[in-house]
Amino acid sequence: MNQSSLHEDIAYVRDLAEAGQKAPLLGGRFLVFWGALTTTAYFLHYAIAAGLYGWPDIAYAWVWGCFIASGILGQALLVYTIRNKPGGNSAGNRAEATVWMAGGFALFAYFGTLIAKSLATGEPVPGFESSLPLVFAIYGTGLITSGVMANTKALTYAGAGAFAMIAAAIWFDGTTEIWAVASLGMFLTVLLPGLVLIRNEPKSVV
Amino acid sequence: MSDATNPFDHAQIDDVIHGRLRLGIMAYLSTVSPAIFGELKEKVGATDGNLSTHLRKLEDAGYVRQEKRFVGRRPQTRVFLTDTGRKAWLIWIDRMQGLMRAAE
Repeated sequence: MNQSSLHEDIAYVRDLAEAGQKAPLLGGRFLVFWGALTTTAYFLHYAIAAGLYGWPDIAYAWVWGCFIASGILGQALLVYTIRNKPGGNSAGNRAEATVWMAGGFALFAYFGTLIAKSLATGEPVPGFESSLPLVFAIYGTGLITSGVMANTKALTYAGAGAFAMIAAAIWFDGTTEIWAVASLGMFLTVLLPGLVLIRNEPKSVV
Repeated sequence: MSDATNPFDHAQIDDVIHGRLRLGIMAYLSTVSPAIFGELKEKVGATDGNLSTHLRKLEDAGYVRQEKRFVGRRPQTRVFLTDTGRKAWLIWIDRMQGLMRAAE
């Protein structure tokens, strides 16, 4: 082993270690799915509240019932589809998976309790209306954490956008328009960055 | 006789790690573990047979662990860097750093 071959070996090792460190994030499909689903649900909620289509109040239950069912089914399918993706266990992807899982648990605890309370009392509970700042705070935290860990600026900016949406959600609190604003916010800060990530994803391997 | 304080002592270099392909495997696994067999093959630029041979050598030393499973109907092998492997990898890096410092 001479000095030159040692330097070549070290350079080779470094390249491979960096390849793992810079592995693309695999969460794009989750962002697109939840972004599209939530954008649609918020818009339909707005449409019902504003009387755009003349739908009765029971339509709220249909919209959010379909949201929950589609969300559970879609999430299970998406988890299955990324099992052949390279780099799934890089630090960036592990951080991304962890922060979104934690965020998901927080949202489940919040909305699960609201639904349980609503079913127990037989009346709508007010927490649902004021949930938007919490939702955008969790999305913003997930986006910024993933963006910083994987050095993906599109996600970091989207996270800042989600935090700006907290202010917008509080500003429009109590109005019908809040749901239209939230729908647009979801589209811009979750759906669009998800499409950017999907474009950068590596091909599946076996 | 091996001398741990002598940076030029070749006996101090872990032969199991210090092969080009095995170096690549260890380097990649140090940042992505577990890695899918096909992912590892693509990253280190090896054939199936060559990679299997070198993985077996690392596995025999306890540095990596292979796990087979099915994804749908297709078999998939995942390769994990073990704790022993990570320690050996760090020792190898220290050894190389010492060697290069001594050679400067």
